[in-house]
Amino acid sequence: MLKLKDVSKTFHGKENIDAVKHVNLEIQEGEIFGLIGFSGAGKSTLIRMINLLERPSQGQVWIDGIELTALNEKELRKIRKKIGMIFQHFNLMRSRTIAQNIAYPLKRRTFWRKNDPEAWSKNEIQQKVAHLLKLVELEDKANAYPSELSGGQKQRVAIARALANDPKILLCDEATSALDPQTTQSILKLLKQVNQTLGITIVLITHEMGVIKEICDRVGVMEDGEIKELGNVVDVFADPKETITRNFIATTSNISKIYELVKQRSEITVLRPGERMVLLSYNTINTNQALISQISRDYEVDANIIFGNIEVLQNKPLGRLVVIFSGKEENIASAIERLKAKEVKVEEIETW
Amino acid sequence: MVELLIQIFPNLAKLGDEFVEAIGDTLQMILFSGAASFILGTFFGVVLIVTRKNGILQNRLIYNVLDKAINVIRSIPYLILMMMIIPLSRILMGTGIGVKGAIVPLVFGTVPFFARQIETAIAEVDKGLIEASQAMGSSPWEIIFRVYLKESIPSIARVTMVTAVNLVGLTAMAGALGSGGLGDFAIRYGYQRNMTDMTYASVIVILIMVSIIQMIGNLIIRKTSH
Repeated sequence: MLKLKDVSKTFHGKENIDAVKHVNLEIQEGEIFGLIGFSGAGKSTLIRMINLLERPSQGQVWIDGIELTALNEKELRKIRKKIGMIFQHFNLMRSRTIAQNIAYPLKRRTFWRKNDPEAWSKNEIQQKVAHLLKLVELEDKANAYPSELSGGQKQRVAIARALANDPKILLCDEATSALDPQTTQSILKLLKQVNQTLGITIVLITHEMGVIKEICDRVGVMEDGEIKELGNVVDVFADPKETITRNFIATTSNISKIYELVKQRSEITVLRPGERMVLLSYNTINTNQALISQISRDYEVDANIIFGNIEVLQNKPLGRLVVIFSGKEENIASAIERLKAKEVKVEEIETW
Repeated sequence: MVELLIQIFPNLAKLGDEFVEAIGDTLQMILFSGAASFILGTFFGVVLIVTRKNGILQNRLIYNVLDKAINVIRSIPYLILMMMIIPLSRILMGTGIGVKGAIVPLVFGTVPFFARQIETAIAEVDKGLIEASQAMGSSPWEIIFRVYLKESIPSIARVTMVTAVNLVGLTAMAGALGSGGLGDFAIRYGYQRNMTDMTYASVIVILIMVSIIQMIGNLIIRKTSH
């Protein structure tokens, strides 16, 4: 439903900056698509090109078979009403109450718009706002001002406002980056609910892998204005191809710490003769079996799990374990072969 | 009460009527030139904001012309500006003296200052808000009225108050060129005829006017800030 065709954006200044370079991207109806990247990767520019807050220097933006990049300002404004957007700093109007903020994007029926079929009467607006307030669970705050709300509540208001014109797409620009972890969870839950109950396609950008992990179906990893890696969240997590992706994944798991411990010759990483330390990575296909206890029995090796990280992504477990095997050399070798046969990725960790 | 007043201000007895008339003239000047300046100044202030670089209706030519014009007019000392504008006032108002003749010079003295103040006030509106309203499909017209102006009402009230106080000062200065009003009154009687009590009387009335302006301004600011 949403298609970016070869879009680029160059900012002209003292130096020209290529913020986004030849990005091709297709987003399906009803999915939650996440773009992750460090600041300066171009993700913010990219998401702004979807509703043309930034006009691409090159390329086309298509939504539902309409080329946005070919529309004039007036037509574009009409389409924008069907693309909701929320921001890192909420961007609510201080001078308006919560109810008035949510009603802002609704076209009011006025004297000179008496017969406009898209205009809303006062009554209709009131009902719509009440409905939206209920959706974001802020019924009691209708007449409060934004300054009286917490960050999480402000973002809820922003979501309600973004949904006022029943959009098909919701763009989230670092929507949880200014929130604490707990509030982030509740906002993500609300977004997921919006996606599932209203069928709204969500495109979000973030620098937190946790957000991607929590709600996204697919993820794109951005660096230097390009999408370096793209795929299902589970696939990308289970088998990252690019260094930048691995770095992001490392931020949400503690497994990379083992290498530091090895470097520091931490006690737990010191091996006795005959022992081997390996990193096992496994995903859905092989997690149903009690593999470790099985091989331990079958090959008479002891498996000492010293470090581990197990994620549940889209209801599928994804694990990484650091294990020290001890036993007869040939037994350890056969045990490892057995693991490999079960499609567990085995990486030897070199120690001193 | 009246006795007491006459004791303190001995010349008020014979000049009372003229004094009241002067107060009326000053109020008229403030009201008319104030209203005109408010509308024109707000208009030019908004034009500055929307046409500036990265503004919603960016236009270098309009911005630069307006920006320079304001700077030039503001750098002319007001007394000289008033004299320069007398011919224009004759064309527009039919006269260069009296309350009617003072309106045009007062507007010229106030608008550039007020436009700058409005520009600063509106510039405080978070640019994220503008981005959000653009994303919601607002037209430039809507953004000006429903976001820029609406969001900066407290700031606009503040700068209007400052400008109005400034304007009271200008009306007094206009007295030097025969505009009538309290400035004129204080010059003619207080200064030229050495009736110091009349100078003080004028000052007191002006002080009261300024206080009332500030009271109203603060009230609006308090009521509209959230």
